[in-house]
Amino acid sequence: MMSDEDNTYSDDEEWLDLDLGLPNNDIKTAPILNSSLLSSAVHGERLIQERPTHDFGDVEATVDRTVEKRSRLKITSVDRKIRLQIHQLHLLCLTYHLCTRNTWCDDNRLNYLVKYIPPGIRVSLHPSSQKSQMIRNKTFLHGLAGLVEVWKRKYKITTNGLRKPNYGLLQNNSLISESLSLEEFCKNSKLLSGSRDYGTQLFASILRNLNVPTRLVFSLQVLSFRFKGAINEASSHEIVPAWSQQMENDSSSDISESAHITSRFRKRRKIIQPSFSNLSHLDASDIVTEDTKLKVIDSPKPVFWVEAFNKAMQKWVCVDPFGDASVIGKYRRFEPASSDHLNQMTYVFAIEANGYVKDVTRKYCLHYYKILKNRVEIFPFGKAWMNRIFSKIGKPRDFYNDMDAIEDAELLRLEQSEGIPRNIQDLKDHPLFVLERHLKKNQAIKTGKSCGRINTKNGVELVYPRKYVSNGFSAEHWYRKGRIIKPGAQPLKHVKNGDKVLPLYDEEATQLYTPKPVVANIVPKNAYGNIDLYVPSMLPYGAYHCRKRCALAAAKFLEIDYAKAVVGFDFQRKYSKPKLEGVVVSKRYEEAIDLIAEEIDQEEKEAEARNVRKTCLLLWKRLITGLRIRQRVFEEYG
Amino acid sequence: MSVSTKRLEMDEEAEEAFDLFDVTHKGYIDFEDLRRSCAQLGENLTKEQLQLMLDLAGTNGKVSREEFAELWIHIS
Repeated sequence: MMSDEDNTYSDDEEWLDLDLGLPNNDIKTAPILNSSLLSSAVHGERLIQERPTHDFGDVEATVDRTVEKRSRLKITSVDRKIRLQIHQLHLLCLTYHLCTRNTWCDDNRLNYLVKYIPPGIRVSLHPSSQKSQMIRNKTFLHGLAGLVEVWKRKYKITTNGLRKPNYGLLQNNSLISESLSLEEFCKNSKLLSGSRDYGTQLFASILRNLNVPTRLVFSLQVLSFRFKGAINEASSHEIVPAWSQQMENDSSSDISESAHITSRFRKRRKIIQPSFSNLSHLDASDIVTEDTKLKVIDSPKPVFWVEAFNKAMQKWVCVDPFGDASVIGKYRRFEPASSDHLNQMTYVFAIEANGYVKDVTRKYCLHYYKILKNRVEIFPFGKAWMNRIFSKIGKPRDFYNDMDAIEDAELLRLEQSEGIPRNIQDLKDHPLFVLERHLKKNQAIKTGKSCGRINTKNGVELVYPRKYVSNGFSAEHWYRKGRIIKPGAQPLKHVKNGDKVLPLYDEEATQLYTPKPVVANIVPKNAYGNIDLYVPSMLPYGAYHCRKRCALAAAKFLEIDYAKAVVGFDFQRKYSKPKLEGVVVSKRYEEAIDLIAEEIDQEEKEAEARNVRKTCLLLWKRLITGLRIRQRVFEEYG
Repeated sequence: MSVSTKRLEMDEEAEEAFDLFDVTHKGYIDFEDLRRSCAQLGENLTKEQLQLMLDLAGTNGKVSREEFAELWIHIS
């Protein structure tokens, strides 16, 4: 009891330390996130209120108009950032969910569950060390199979477990799953019924009480950060109420109206058809809410399962308590199909009884590169961010033992043995391999040998490692990064840009741009009389960049040579406008221009304050004069 | 003699003007008084302008008789 409380406290302390770790995580993002979510909620709510309850024509028109409106929405970089942050937060929440349930599995109040297990199975799970390795392995697996059969007969699945979420369903509030407290978690175990996930967690508790080292494995159903199928999110949100209304009205119509309604129903079927697969389980979910005796619709693959440690083979054996017994020990049978709308495999975490978490996704997925597209590691900061999380919840190296080393070796072997995909579609956006036909306009294979080949309709194409891909940019683009082309450098490739042919260079063909120094306190300028200062290295030797608000006025006051600093360009409505920030002067005048700029700034602020005071006095005078005139008029003319 | 007489007249005028704002005789001028005065005169001043007036003449959004007398000196 005491140790559980300490563990919980430790967990809470760890979670407080985590942050999202975005490289450009500025304060402005948070309010944008809140306002965007709020506006989305308000928008959805208003649509529901505006919808009439009787007129079908209006309902249909509203649905069409809304879908059309949504499809025209532009996806901005802020929207993508918000989705990515939601993804990260959801990942942390689900990881915490796993840790919490794992702790609850060890509660003493669940010890009584072992009474349902026959003694024969208990003996099978602990074979005698006298027997050979093969016999011990077979006996252990038989014990697990027997335990699965017993548990499938004892436990009844009556509610839905966790499902793959998407943004459209969230607004309908249809993803309601059971939320339990620790007391309810222990008390409900007497009922031997509930969701599939809950049953798996109780199964893990039984195995641990039988002294079998057990890990609880969770395939995290995280909200995606991608905008794939964004239109379907809106349509699935809008069509459900229309469907419900149709169901309600159909039951109460009389014979004369039924034919008319049927024709409308046929017409509406086309609208419903694109997202019918979403509707089917939504409809089932509603029915389940009304009558729990009806069949529960779950994904054929589990979201929670367990891994039991097989001492004979020194390996973890995966077990789905509600799956077929033949699945035991076969990792590849746990990955859901890509067409499964209720389940997705993106992150698979396994947690031990001591609370250490491990990412075992690679063991369970057939093609890791497909899953990698949906993981946060696809971003430059993602790998470091995940490492920070696992440095807090993963097992430290000091506590490693043989079985951990064996599993790490297996994961590494899986990583290295994954070969080149056999079809062209899988090679597109592959993290490791690339075809020349999939390169972008500014990319090219610079050097290096091909690592394989693939047959296509047009013959054989070479497959290259992605690390040989070089990105090329134009000379102007490199100049904006503070670099110029080396003399005599060869371009990476040429691309057409309208009528011109534009050479593209990679970074090796460029060198740092060194501007001319300041001579006799004269600042070197460009053709427009300004100075290009896109990156700090473009500041000339002997120059000083004053960024104060009144730097320009100060330079004019001092009558010294200066140049306005161009730090970038604003691209708005087909025009590019230079962004000016401060002035560049000789370093000799650094102290003087800073001082004068501050004095001018202070003077301007004082002048503004005097103006405000003068305006206030005028307002007071106007009010007093008006009130006095009004008073006199009242006194004289009653 | 004449200076003190003029001072006395100014104080009386300030008192009369203060009472034009503080019609409920609570002893100070606040935001509501200014808002009502604007409504009576048909002036379209914004909340920010009224707040600026209060901040200039008084403290914590209230103008006492003494503060109003001080303001009167600058206006007349």
